[in-house]
Amino acid sequence: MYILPKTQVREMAAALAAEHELYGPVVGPDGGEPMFERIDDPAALRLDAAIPYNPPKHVVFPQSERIMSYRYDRESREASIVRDDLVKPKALIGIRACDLTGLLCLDRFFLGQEYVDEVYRDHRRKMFIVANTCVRPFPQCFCVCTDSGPAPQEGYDVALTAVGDRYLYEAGTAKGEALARRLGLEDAGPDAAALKKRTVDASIARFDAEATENKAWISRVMNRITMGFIANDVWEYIGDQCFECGACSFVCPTCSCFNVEDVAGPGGRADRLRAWDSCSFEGYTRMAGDHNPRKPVEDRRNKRFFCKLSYSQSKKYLRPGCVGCGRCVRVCPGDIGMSNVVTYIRREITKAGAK
Amino acid sequence: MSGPHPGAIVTVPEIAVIDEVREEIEDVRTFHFSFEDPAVAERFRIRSGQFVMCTVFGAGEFAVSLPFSPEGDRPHLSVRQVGKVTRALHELRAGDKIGIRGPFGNGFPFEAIKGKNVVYVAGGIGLIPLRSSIVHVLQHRKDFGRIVLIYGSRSSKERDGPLRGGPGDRAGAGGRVRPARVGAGEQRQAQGRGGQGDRGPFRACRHGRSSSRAIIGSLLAPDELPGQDDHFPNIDDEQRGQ
Repeated sequence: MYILPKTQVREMAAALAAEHELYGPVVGPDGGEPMFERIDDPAALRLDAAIPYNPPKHVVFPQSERIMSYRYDRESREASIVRDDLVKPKALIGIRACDLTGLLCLDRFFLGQEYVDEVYRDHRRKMFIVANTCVRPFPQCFCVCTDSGPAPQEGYDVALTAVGDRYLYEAGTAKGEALARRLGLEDAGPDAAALKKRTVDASIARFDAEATENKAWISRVMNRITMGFIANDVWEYIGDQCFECGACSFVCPTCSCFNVEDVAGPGGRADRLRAWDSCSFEGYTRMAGDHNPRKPVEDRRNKRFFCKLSYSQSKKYLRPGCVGCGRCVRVCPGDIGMSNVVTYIRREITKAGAK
Repeated sequence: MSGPHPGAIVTVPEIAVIDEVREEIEDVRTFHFSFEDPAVAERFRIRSGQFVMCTVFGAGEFAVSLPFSPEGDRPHLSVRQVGKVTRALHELRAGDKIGIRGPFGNGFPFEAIKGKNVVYVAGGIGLIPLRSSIVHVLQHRKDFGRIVLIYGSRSSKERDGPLRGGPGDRAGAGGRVRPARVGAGEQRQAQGRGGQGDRGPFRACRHGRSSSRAIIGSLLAPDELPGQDDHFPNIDDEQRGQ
């Protein structure tokens, strides 16, 4: 482990900017919610900002993007397909443990199963990741319930842990080591690991008092959802509160559903666009010919929680599909973010037990 | 390309030429196709039960099951026009081009059901996705026991459509496919015919509505009903949700 003085963060960002597009938490000039965005000036990077309003999902899986274009001339029957050029490697600086876990879930969805999605792979290629340990939780957080924080466990090149006016710099890869040497960082000494552990333990201890917005004890609920033991009226109750706005999916670090549409232009040209989709939308399950096997919102709502918490999904992600960032709870106008749904289901379990 | 499907076209479609368009039944046409690039055609390997994404240039892309057998069968798609993209496909003629990516999904596990009787249950155009498997089983007739197809259609014309021509044709199968009419009351009786002796444990493959499972249930004895480990693609709610 090394020491990175906080004053040297900008230098680290500038070093990475030479070969990467930079992304990280920024705060607008008028304050407001921090956002995880593209950074042109390394000085804009705000590692001390609260958990960003949006996860870094859009960096690897943009809300809407052209994945290819084509031209077909019906007269000559000439067809050509053009795939867009590769993007520059990206560096994510200051990604929180929950969001890094979310990124790894997306990796497993797009890359880690039977097929490799080439568009996602190009976004992810040669990525440099500097993760940032949450040395204190934010009010919305429950990563300790989902095993995804407060310290990053895997998938980073560098993990930073703030201790006073410096960061403990932990290289997770050879790339991370090389950057430390390039920056001429000082070794953190033999006590660094113990210091990091104390810092992380102190952060975990603060959850009870400071992460007061949400608690989501999900293990029992995972069992319940997997076994299908949840009564329909519970899903109806949850579905009744859904506005079908899709915000939960859009701010979720692990939601990976998308829709693909061809937008036709003149001369037989068309762009193929891929855009985020949400299981809360009625059109999500609507098929050609207008048949919709999941028209009632509760039929689609339960799928969201199935997707996040069932065992069959966990087998694919090698973990629960929820990373405990608490964003869905913040954005949901109907109060059916993850922690509330977990509470409704647990309440049902308690009632059933009392009978 | 990495992963366990080395030949699959994952993200960007490959261009294919429509060689022949055939009218099947009302609103259903079969499109025979071949890849423009012979190297792609060489790599393109399917398993019965898989599907592809078909691009109709200018209109969009749709998922469609593969009705042809992995071996000795002409690549084709049989499509009913139901929406924007399938309507645009129906506009196309021989010589027109489409995009194909895939194949995706799991195939039917023929190795696991070797030596067993096979029951197919389908209704209407739901037979199309099973055609590949049926043809495969007929091509390897000695590897399987009895082959039963339980099929419902709105008319006899529709019934004969999907298996007409090719290795799955009744005539082509050398008279080994024999149609039978079975009324509801005769179902249990039909099941008893032949005696217990010559029936091995059944394995059933299903496609389409969940009521098909009830039909299978009414035709098979309880000990022949497919269990959890049998091959009911898509039957599980969990799997369907993804």
